[in-house]
Amino acid sequence: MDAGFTLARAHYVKLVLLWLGFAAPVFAFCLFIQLWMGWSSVWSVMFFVWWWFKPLYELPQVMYLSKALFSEPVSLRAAWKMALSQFWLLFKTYLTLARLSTARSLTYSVVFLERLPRKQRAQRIQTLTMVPTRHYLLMMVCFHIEYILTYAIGVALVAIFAANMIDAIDWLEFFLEPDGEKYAAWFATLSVLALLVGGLVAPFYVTGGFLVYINRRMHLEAWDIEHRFRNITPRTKLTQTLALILVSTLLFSAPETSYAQEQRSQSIASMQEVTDALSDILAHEDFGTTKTRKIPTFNRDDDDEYEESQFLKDMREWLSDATGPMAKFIKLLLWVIAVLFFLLLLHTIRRFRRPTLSTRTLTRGNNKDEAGAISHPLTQNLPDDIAGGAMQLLKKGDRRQALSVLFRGALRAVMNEYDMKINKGATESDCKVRVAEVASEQQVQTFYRLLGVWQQEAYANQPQQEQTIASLIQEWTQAFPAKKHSANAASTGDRV
Amino acid sequence: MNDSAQFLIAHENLNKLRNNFSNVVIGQQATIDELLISVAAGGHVLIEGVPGLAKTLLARCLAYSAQADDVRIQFTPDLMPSDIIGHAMFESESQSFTVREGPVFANVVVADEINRAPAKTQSALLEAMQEQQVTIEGETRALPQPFIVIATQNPIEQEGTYPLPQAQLDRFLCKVLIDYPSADEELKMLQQVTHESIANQLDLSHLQPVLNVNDLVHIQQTASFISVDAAVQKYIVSIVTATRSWNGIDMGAGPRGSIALLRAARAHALLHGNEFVTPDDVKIIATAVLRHRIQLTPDLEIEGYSPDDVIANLLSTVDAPRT
Repeated sequence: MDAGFTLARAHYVKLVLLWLGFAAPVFAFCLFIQLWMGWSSVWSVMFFVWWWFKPLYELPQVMYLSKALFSEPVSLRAAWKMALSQFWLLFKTYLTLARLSTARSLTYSVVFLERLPRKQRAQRIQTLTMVPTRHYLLMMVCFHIEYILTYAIGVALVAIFAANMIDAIDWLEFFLEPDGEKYAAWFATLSVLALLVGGLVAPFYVTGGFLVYINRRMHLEAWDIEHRFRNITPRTKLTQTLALILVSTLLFSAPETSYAQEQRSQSIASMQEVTDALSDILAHEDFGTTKTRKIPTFNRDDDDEYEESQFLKDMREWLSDATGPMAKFIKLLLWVIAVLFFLLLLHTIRRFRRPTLSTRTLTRGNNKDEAGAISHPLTQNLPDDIAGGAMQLLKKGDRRQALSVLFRGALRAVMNEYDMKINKGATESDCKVRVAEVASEQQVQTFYRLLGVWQQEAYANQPQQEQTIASLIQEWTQAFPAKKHSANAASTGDRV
Repeated sequence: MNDSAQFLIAHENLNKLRNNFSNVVIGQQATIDELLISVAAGGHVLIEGVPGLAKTLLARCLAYSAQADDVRIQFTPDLMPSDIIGHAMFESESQSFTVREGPVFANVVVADEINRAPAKTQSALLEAMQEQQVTIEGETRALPQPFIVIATQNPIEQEGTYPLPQAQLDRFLCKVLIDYPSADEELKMLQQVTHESIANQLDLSHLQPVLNVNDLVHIQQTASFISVDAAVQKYIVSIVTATRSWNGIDMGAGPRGSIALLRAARAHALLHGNEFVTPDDVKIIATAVLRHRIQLTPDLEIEGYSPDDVIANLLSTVDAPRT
């Protein structure tokens, strides 16, 4: 990885430009789509899409490095072209589920440079990662550096230019609910910073992974020595040409060949000789490592050298007989465990569904936990005909219930007519205030009188005269005519 | 005199006290009401607020207006229990022990900055607050009636303080929070307090004694007779039990909370001239009665929610009586 970082530093500017060459247009495209769709406050989706395409931005860097390492650097345009030519392969390999692979920087070379068929590619990756290469550490370190830098620069910018904004940020909400008008400017800034910081960190990530790959190949296949031998061949070719020119000159211009010249011509190796020499060297035991893996297998019955004892035979037979029932038992056990787990889950959910103070819905001083006429407990179990129901109860002598029906009926009527909502814990005063806000003067006056009588009857234990209640029922009928509130009456129940 | 007449007298007296407060304490009407409700309910009050918000003045006003014996005890880390309740002393002349009563033997005891004294000293008030009596050297002595403890504490300076134990907090009927006055109120205060006043004296010259100790006792007795319907009692119990099963509350209010809420609701009804308790009386006073009896979960505390936020949320979801 040290070598990788050294290589990244040597080509840093080009590598950053290679990243931005793809990342910036994709960013701009995502931004365009976002604005076009009118999602000016939905930054998380846009950022996620841009983030998902990160392998695309890293591919030109891999292409460039594959040439630059062997002293054959290509232009930026050529690197982008090479990357684009492999887009389909990139899409199949790194823009699907493998996007989440931690070994991405290591396996880029296998996929795009070696271009092996799928099966061989998998084998090669398995071989490369057989020993711990700590490529995941590279991923973790780069990931953290990238995000820490992004947020640090973002916060620093705000601290410098708009320090008062810092205190206004609810960090929990900021991270849990990033979308919304409140933090849109913040996320716009952070997204641009992520683009720039990504470009600064990516060269180290890609080059680090690339050099880990090279290092593994060196260990596995002595690539460094092979590389040197390959460098010999061009030099040999040059020497050979010069020698031929020299020999030709000598043959046609000189009457005879001197002994020294003959010796020199003999010393120039032919291609065949070089190839043979290389084969000999490569065939030497110092090259290549053979690994032997031993896998234990059961002795077969027809193995003559092994004599199985009677006990083992009986045991084997018993085991083969018992396997079926045991499997069934284990299956049953697993089902029982699964059912118990499900029940436990239900119990846990039920426990957490107790009256809860949701930190998201808790509002200081202004409670929004309100319900309309249909769902409000105050209006449950009311007759369709409020006045009639109240009168029946009054005739039965149940004055308290008669007034209760009138009170709740009036409330239901106002809720239906004006789409008024009140919370479950609303007391008489709360209802009074809400009704006064929305209802007509006549309704408000009737409601006030009704509340006064109801409170005297219910809480002061002062029995009200039947005449008073009967006149209230009549007044109620005028203030809350049946047609206005009967629409939803059926849905709120029909019993007293 | 019938009950109604008794009620009217008590209500008028309570309002006299309320109006008298307004002559000296500018603004803070909700605080004054909560203090008077605690007094009418025969309970003790814990006043919390930053320095300079008239906490001590409120207590002095009460004692002066009702011509009651008052004493102010400044709680400090080296204060001993015997400094509060009293102690037995050997007198060489009579060759016997005589009991010297402590400052707690007064009608109104102002325990200033109560959380500055260690738990042992704070606990010295436990018996006095709950049973209206103290035991010195095995001898139990009744405290004068009415006996009201008005404790103050500062919410910001926590270093060198001893937070009140839950058992002690439970003895306070209400915890009253004093907030900063509005700009207009503060301006009025500047004009009134600094006029013809030397240094930082508590100016009680605008105050007139409007009641006597017996009137206070009468107010408390009248409040205790106010009728409470069974539905309202159930409502009180529903609220208090809800605090015990509410996610977000680690420790809910105990049965003493229900009793305190009922007493406070009665006093609230009396203050507002109602001869019976309605769910509104309960709901309005519930926050002051319960805020010091519940313990929030750490996550809510970290998020900066106060018991008042939680109680408001709880009150909005506990069904009010309707049949």
